[in-house]
Amino acid sequence: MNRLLALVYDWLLCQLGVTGDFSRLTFDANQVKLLAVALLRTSRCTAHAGVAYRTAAGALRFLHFANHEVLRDEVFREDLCLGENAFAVPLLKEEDQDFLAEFCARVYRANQSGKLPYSFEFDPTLGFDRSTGLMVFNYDSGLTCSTFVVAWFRSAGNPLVQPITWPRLADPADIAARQYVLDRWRESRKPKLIARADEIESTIQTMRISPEQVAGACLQRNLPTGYYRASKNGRQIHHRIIDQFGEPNP
Amino acid sequence: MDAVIEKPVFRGASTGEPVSRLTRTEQDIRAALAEEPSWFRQINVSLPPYEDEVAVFQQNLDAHCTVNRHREAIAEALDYFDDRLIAGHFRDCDRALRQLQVAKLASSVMVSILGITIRAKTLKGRAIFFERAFQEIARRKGKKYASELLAKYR
Repeated sequence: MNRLLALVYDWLLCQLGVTGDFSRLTFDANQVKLLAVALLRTSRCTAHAGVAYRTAAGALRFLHFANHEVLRDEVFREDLCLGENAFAVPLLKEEDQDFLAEFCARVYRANQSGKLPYSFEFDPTLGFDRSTGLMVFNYDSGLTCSTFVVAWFRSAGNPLVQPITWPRLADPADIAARQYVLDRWRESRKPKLIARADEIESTIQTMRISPEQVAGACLQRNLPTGYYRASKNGRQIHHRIIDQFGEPNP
Repeated sequence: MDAVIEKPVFRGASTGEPVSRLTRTEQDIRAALAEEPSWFRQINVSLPPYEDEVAVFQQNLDAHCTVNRHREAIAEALDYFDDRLIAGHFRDCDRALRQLQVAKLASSVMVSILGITIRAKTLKGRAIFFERAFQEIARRKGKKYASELLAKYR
């Protein structure tokens, strides 16, 4: 019942045009004052999401779940991935953003010894233990780059999305994006990635929160937001990226 | 496959079923506070080491905030409470939250303290700190702003 109500509410607001504020979408890293969700185009059908944040010294860093068991916190470089990047700045008060920016560094430090598994399955109740960075529920499952961002925001008390409103199954485009990841892993010839690809392939049809949807959610005025609005914003971000950088190479 | 994540499993005392770390934390907090006899809390017992520790912490935060180094103050606050929550030193956290004065703290530092201790909501000191932070931010920026800012950290 809760899911149905949340879905109807989200759909209605979407139909009424209560969608994203695209003045908070930028392609210029210098426009990120404190915190943003960064969206990096990685191929024709895939993108990568993470949290871009400024240190006290003013450097822009990028906290992201790069791959299976690889959580990275690095200086943001314009040439990361294809160098075709967008930033969605959430409408949060400066106090929240200051806290979240420092929380980034905290999560990374805590995760240096741990190894986050990559998984397509997403338990909506998943979150990080703030102290250790470990997930407090559903230990065996894991995250994708975008569900890492979702879990991170949620863990810091600022949830971005209402996972209950997402379709339970992935659509064909979602499955294609996931298959792309599995194919790259298998081509890598790295035994750990190949083994992980075999382990998670059977879950390829499970619910997917995409990087575009996470960035799209950031543009809503009121958070957390639902599937319809996040998806609509995400599609528009996708088109704006194409307008900005052109069609991706096949 | 090798274990890919540290996975502490804690058995529930009554059922023997694994309980989540979050549940365990809340239970630990309750247990830690329950161990403390009520007379202990009612008497204003002098505990110099803890008081000194909190006093030093307060001085550091105030010093950072006075020169507008808010991010350094936030980092120090996150480290202080995180380290103690990890170690299960809930009484120390509770004591610090009760003793911390907010007059010189930046709003973002108060928010960060409430944010990092959100999983220890059962600490009475946190409720006291929340109220102090609310009043101070309301005094500086208005009640509406304080309500909007702190609602999600209650």
